[in-house]
Amino acid sequence: MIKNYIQKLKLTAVVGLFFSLSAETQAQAVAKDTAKQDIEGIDEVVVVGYGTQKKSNVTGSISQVKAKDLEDIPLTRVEQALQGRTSGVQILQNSGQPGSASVVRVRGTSSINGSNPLYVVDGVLIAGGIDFLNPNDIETIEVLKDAASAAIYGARGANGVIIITTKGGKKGAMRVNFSSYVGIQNAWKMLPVLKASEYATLQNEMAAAAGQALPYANPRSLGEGTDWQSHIFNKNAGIRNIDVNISGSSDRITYYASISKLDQEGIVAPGKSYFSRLSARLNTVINVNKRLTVGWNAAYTHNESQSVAENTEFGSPLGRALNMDPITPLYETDPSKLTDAPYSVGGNLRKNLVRDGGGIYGISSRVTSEVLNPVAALLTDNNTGWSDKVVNNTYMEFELMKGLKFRSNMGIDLAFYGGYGFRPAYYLNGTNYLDTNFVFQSFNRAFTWMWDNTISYNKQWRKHSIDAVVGHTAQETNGTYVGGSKRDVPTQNPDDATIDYARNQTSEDIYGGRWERYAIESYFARANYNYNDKYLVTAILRADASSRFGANYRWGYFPSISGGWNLHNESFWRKNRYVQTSKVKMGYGRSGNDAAGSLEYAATIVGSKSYTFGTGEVLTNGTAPAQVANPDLRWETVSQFNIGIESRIFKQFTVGFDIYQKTTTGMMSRPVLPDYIGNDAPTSNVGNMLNRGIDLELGYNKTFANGIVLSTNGNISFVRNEVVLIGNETGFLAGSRWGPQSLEITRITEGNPIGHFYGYKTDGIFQSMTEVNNYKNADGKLLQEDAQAGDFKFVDVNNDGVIDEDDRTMIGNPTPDFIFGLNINLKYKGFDLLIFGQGVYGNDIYNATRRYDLPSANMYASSLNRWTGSGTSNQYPRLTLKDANMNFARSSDFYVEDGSFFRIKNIQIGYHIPQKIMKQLGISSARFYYSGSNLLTFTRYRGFDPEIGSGFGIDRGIYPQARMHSLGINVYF
Amino acid sequence: MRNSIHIRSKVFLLVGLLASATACKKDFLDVKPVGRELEINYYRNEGQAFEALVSIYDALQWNDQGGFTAFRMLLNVASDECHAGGSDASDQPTWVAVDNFSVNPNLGPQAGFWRRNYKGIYRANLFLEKIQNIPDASVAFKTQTAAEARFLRAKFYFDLVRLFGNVPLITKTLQPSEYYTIKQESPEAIYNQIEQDLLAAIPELPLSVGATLKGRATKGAAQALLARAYLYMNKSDKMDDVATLCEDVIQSGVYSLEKKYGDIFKTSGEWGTESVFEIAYSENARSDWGSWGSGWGEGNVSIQMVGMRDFDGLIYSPGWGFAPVSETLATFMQGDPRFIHTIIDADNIAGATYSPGYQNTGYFIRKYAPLKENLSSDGEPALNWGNNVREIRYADVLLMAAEGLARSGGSESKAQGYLNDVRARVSLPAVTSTGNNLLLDIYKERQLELATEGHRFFDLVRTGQAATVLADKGFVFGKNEYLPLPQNEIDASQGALKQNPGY
Repeated sequence: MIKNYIQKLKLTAVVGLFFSLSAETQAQAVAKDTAKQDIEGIDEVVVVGYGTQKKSNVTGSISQVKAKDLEDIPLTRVEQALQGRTSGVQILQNSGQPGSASVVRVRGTSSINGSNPLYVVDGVLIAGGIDFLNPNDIETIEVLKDAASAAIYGARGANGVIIITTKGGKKGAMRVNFSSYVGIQNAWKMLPVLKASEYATLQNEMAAAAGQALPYANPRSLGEGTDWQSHIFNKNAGIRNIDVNISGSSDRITYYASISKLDQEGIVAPGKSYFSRLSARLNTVINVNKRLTVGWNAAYTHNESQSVAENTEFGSPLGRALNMDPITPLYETDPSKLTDAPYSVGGNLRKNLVRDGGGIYGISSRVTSEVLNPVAALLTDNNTGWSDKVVNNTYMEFELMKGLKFRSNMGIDLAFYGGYGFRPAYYLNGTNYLDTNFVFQSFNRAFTWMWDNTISYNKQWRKHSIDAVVGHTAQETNGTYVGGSKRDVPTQNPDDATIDYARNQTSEDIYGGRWERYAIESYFARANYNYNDKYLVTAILRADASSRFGANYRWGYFPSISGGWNLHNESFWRKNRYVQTSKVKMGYGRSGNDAAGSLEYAATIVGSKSYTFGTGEVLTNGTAPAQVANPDLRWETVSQFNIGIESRIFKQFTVGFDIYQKTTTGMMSRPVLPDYIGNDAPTSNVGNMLNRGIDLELGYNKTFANGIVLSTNGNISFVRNEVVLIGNETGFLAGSRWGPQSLEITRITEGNPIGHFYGYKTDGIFQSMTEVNNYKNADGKLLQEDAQAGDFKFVDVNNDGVIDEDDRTMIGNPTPDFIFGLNINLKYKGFDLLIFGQGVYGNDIYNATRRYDLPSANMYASSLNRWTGSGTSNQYPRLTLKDANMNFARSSDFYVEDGSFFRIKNIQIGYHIPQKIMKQLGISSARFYYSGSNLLTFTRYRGFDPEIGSGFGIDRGIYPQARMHSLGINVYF
Repeated sequence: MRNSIHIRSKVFLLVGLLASATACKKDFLDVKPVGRELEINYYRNEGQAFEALVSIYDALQWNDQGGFTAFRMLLNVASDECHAGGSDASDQPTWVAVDNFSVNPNLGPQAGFWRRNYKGIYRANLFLEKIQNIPDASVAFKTQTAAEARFLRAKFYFDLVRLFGNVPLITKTLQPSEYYTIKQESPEAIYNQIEQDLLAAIPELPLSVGATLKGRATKGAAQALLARAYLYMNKSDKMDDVATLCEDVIQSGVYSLEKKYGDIFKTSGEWGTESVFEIAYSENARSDWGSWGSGWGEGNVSIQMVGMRDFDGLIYSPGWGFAPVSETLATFMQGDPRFIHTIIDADNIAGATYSPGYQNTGYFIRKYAPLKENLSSDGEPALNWGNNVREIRYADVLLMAAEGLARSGGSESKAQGYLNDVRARVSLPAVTSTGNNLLLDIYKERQLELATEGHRFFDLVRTGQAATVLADKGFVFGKNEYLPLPQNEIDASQGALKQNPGY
């Protein structure tokens, strides 16, 4: 058995020789290997950056996701393909808004400055998002997790590298593939808020507690009132995707062409939230002759979307739906009310009230500020975004002599993007109105080119094998932008409004400019040595120079070394029932992060320090230095040490285990200088961060005698994040703030995980005045003089006998203890079942969805269980308009909830129509399926959705994920 | 085979060519600034120097540093003229703390005031270091702008010394080695610097500036500011100088009282004949919340703050209900012709409604009220009020002159004359008192004439009345005359700064 196995390995090694380094031919290699892959799956090839490697010989830590794992799952973005499928990678969708991006963290958050991984698509390093990719075009995704493998991308590999290879043509006859799905999406949860009568009762209670007159004479008569959530969610929002691709090869040419269109409506804000993508791709390889190969991958994508404000306390549709009082009607139909404030002024109806076929939209006379009638506010919001992106790479590859190849590759990433919108004149309340409409538009262009030249060499002799690549690459990014707005367009129709149509030709606002150039030049080399497939060594060195740094530290050097030992290839290895294969590997390496902005190392003079002079009020530009210079600014460095084991045990089980330590040093930040210096400190390399973790992947594959094929895999990843050093005197960096009072609710502090929640600790509620009076410090002084029975008892954390700002502390952590994913695949005859789930455990969410600064904002139904007398509640304090104890006005653990969840992301039931029937129709295979997304979510979190990617675990009214049911078809001709 | 060798040599040649062609040019990695300049290439001509000067003026108008820190409105709140207000007690804890003197090193407007003034001082110091070496600038230009920078530096130090007492005295831009060697100086030393700067500036500043230059410092402004600084120093041997400086301004013939008191705070009254120094705001700068806190905004948010909440009616635009006028002031001004130009009696505006907020009295500030006619049509309206702050009015100069004379044993008839000029404008009978009664009458007139303009709190402090008048608001003698230094600043200074007594 082992003999055969080694034989096979050798064979693949030889076959491997013929594969070039190109991503495209790799794809073929993958395809080829996949095709003849045995169930032990050990001959797979992985893409490692400027080359490929046999999976069995990889010494770094690399996870792979393949097309077949993703087929027919209704993914709208590439990141979703990785979610829950590999260990060590945490992916949370920012929100359920169509087209919304995800937060991707490879092995924890490695920097306070952007921890997004680098995306490489077919060898092109992508700047500015990968939403141009059609998930159906993906052949494989590799995640380079450790520095030993990411070092090949040097200065940009610190946060991990995600390498995406798109499909290529396959040897053999032409294949036509048509796939499509249609679905409906709905919200999976509504939040219980107070009904009108309950609202009025509690408002009365609050007024009474403060000794004020009761605002509502007869709360009961108000009934249920308006259910704002029901008006703001879109029922049965549609989604539709169509994808056609043709692939194949002739003598010299292999090709893959695909066309697709996706249309998705959002589940919030009917008509104002959608995403559509049109994409086309052609991947071609031409074997000009035995030695010369040329090829290109060309992709064009057009995206268009409309999105609504979300996750903000200052006026998002969902935030408004939760905070708007239930007494205000959707439409005000009572004529007697319309003749009065706020609808009329001086007896005349205001002219810009928002209205439509249903009449005039209701305006609250109770809740103020940004809490508006959410439906009416949406009608005033018209904002369309678009992008056109071309990603292309063209290469030439020549075999100079056996094993020695030269390759030149030009990658292009060209993006045009912008938006346009219109705000009609409106009156939403006393502080939110617009007397003259206005129209705006923006246009941006971003362009990156990169040119790689590499020489690779491959040689086998006796039991030795060497595989090396050296290269040079240069890259440059440029951009331009222009935009403007004008007032007074003679239409209230957003589709009809343009800047040129505006009547008031003087009220224009234009802006525009160019980006400062961003350039990188690099040299790199990698050598893989392999002795008899037993001992494996990989060494990498990359040198990068970035225009973001001054001459003192422009160049950074990123080395790595890793080794592996295939125990099962040793002669002493005895075949046994328990362990079939086993590889141990170890690696250490460095990568970098150039997260600085342009010219941050220099002292620059910036404008906008203006002042107004003269009776004509002439705004005069002023300039001042933006900061002090720091010519020593340099790369953030991430050093990572990794030990891992890959094994196949009990025949059907695969195990991957990695343990790592990742240290970030020289994290860039602006140290806090005393204000008397009068200007800001420059960006400096001052901080350190530490991530330690364990990644575990487990697979089980078995074909049972009765024909059932079961394949399951699961992964679990533990990460501990610690901010080791901030590098300023205060030992913390200010984090996020909440509300008009700018409550500080997160901080980055030394010794704690990044971005932890910050505030007071509560210790239940004072049940009586006796308890208040007994809460004293050592000197017998009351700790909470202003408290009454029913108020929170705050903890004197620092034990100084006073409860004040210094008692604020870490009250929660948005980073989970562990994340996990589970995938179960069952096949029986023509039927298949897929269940895919994902979860996080041990993280907290800061629930900042209610405007506690506005006492008249509606409340959650949980407020019905508030404290109303001794023994009634120990969690929810009394309600009063005079909150002298600051029960709600302080950031405290009252707002922090358990954010753990497990979610069944997808369930699929499919059926392959038997070949016999299909053959007659000229169809080689056809599958119909039902797919359900987000069908079940297990969580104790009480907000809309525990999956909060953006905003550091703070929920300010997140746009929840949709529950989707879809039906699809996938046919190969 | 031959063919293949041929191709191979071609490719080797190509590799060689590519290697040499793509090896990047030397300046490939050098970034040229776009839309900004490098400091090493700057300060070369009058245009650039002028922009640097403008940036010093810029700091005058900030009220967004460290939250809502509108200087004069907060001074009103600290005095007996106004309460904190807002929607409820938790609306702006900073304002509540100023109102009831519960300010502590972590809570209060001090960080904003501190930063604003020291940023202004840094820019002035930088300017004074650069101006003499600017190659392409005339001597006249250099002299006048340097005098303006000194005037502004004095203004920033004056605000610092009266707010904080002992503050670092920094008269040049600091090098990193000096960051933590700074010591606080006594108020006397700070006042000494203010005096030096203003005495140097006065002879170099123009008597008046043209219409398009309004807002630039003038000789009168510097003299009036120095007079005010002397008054705050409270030294009897300086009262003479107060009178001399103010009479100089009076005799300059540049200024006079606005005929109608109500016109002073109208938009048409901006840069008016009574305006000795004014801080300018713009309604055209399209300030938005995105740049809030950065000092980029050019609007006067304090106007929005003091408006009546949810006001629905004519004339006024709704605001946020801050700094409601106290019953004390309303009662005190009852019957004075200036009442209606000073206080809005909100409960008695026909056909109008508003929402009472926290500490509502029904009275609101009129002088800086948000008027519909002033509403900006560009950007976020709340942040784009263009109302200028009348920092030094000629009426104040007259009253300072009177006070200087009365306190230095100067001519009482002249003092009465100046006082009565102010009273005559609003048709009030002339005052004939003498001695201490005259001084008390001057103080009373200051209170009536300058109500809600941010003078009252320091007038109480410098005349020793604060402890009694503000006792029921929580004022503690020996402590609340000054704000605490910001705790963050003390932490960041690595022990260089000491907290004020009582905090």
